[in-house]
Amino acid sequence: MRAKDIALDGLFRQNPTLKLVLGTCPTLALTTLAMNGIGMGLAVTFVLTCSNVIISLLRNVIPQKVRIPAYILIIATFVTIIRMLLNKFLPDISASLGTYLPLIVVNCIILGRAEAFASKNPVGAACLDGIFMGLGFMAALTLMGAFREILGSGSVFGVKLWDFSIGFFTQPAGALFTYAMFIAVYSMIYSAVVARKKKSADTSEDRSEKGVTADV
Amino acid sequence: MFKMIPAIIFAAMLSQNFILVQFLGICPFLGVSKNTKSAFGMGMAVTAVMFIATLITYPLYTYLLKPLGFDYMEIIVFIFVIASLVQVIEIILKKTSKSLYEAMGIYLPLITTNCAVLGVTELVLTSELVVTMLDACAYGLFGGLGFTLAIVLMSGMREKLDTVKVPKAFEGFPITMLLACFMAMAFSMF
Amino acid sequence: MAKKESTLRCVATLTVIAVVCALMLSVLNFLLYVEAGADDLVGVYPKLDGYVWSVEETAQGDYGAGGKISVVALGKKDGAEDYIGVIVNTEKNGKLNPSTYAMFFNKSTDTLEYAAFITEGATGGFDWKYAEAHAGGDDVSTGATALTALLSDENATEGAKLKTWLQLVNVKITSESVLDFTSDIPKTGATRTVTATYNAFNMAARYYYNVYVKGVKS
Repeated sequence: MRAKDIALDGLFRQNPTLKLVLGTCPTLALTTLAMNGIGMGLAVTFVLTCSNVIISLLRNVIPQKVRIPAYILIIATFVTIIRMLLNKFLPDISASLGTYLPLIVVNCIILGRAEAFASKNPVGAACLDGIFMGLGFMAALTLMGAFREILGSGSVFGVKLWDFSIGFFTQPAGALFTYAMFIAVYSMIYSAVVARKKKSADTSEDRSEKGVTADV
Repeated sequence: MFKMIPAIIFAAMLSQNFILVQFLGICPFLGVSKNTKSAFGMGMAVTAVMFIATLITYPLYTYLLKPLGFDYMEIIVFIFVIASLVQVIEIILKKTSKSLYEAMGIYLPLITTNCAVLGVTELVLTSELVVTMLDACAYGLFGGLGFTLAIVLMSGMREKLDTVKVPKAFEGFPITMLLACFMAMAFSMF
Repeated sequence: MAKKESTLRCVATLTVIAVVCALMLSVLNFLLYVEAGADDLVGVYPKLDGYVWSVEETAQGDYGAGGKISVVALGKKDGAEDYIGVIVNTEKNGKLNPSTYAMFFNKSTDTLEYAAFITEGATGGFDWKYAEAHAGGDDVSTGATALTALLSDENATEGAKLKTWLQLVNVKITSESVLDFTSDIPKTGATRTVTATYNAFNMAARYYYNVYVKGVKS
């Protein structure tokens, strides 16, 4: 599998937030500020990359029957590590992520990638997949965070733009509204891109790698 | 001793509703809300696990992990407790009550990775409302009931939605989220 | 037989992973351990320059609604009186975001000597123009200054409300005076900042009374 494919999958084609709709809890809860998107994105990228690497290394060692508990143990360890690191070096980010930091353990993206990708691919690919899936998640969260922050608080990354603001976008309902709009816009762009590819008679198949869907 | 309970019931079920205000447990909320029967089954299973999990993790943290200085093991211990609990409940249900197992059994494996369960065990450690063990259990129980309320209401609307035509880009998740958006407005007005 | 072996292998693998994870975390915890926020008390109360703060275990108990006591620390300096610093985090209240207050108690006289914001959650909830108009100074840029300005304003209603509360500063904390701290918060007209400040005073005083005056560690 080529590195370019993995990168494109993570950032666009299989974007965890917009296409796979995984990890919805932090996406909705933390996107009040653009900065939260960066913080959460970095934390998830760290955990995802580390757990992908370890799980890929151990893919022939862990018995099939107990793979899920084993994955959860490994993921929980890395979540604890990133929590300690953030507490020590970036306490502000740690405080703004609050309860959602430990909840990375049950973030479907991480278990989903472990199951769908890391357990079947060599270390290098698994590592790249972790990085780009994490970055795709971070990009989506930061964009949504910036959107909500601009409309809801009149600022972006904490920099005041104007006095105008719509309180709705800082409310929980605003989170759901924003997420719905982002998915809708994404799927419009996505289908436009796919249609264009088909037109140019490119027969490259849409790599379907469904894995765990949001039904889990 | 009981004075926090009314505040907890109100907050956990409505004003701080797990799904619609705190966004914990969105995955099952979107995934298992297609019909009312399965939504109710899922809600009850989650409520049971949330209640029992808090009953175990709160004293475990307060009287064992914290005094011994092992509070950094919190995440691992909590997720381990939840995963084992789900397994045990599944086995017990299978052995004792066939009808209950058929109603709830299929949802149980999904609960381990439900944010609401790990979320409630973490939340009761920091919530201002929780002072005693009793508060923590009440928070778990009524948080679960609030979860059930939201998911059952949602399923009712989605059953109607099946008969309606929506723009293509909004099919699936987006339209469901817009519905949830209106519900969230009502809940967060408290 | 084969089945038994695989079960054994499953258990063994899980155990090994669990032990390795726990060991790794213990080492990292040792390297990265963070004392709970006692650093936040340094430099808040100018009089206590040069004090060294060590975190005390926060006693569990009900100290009032509206917030949570997050850090209690003992301040020591050679040849000077001991102080207890209490950090109170107040809840989000409508538009007012959570705030953090530091309260300083003189341990030898049992009085609350000083209170200040560490971070103020005033985004949208605190009336800066009001504070500015009544402060008489230019510097209302920080929450602490604005609060002090409000507190020192005799005529303003909000200021007056906080003022009566401020009279509790330098009051010896006894079984009687702690009741003053726990009296009802005036509801009418009080801004959310005032309410949050009441809550913070309230909780810190009750905590200090219970733990250090009465000496009950519950």
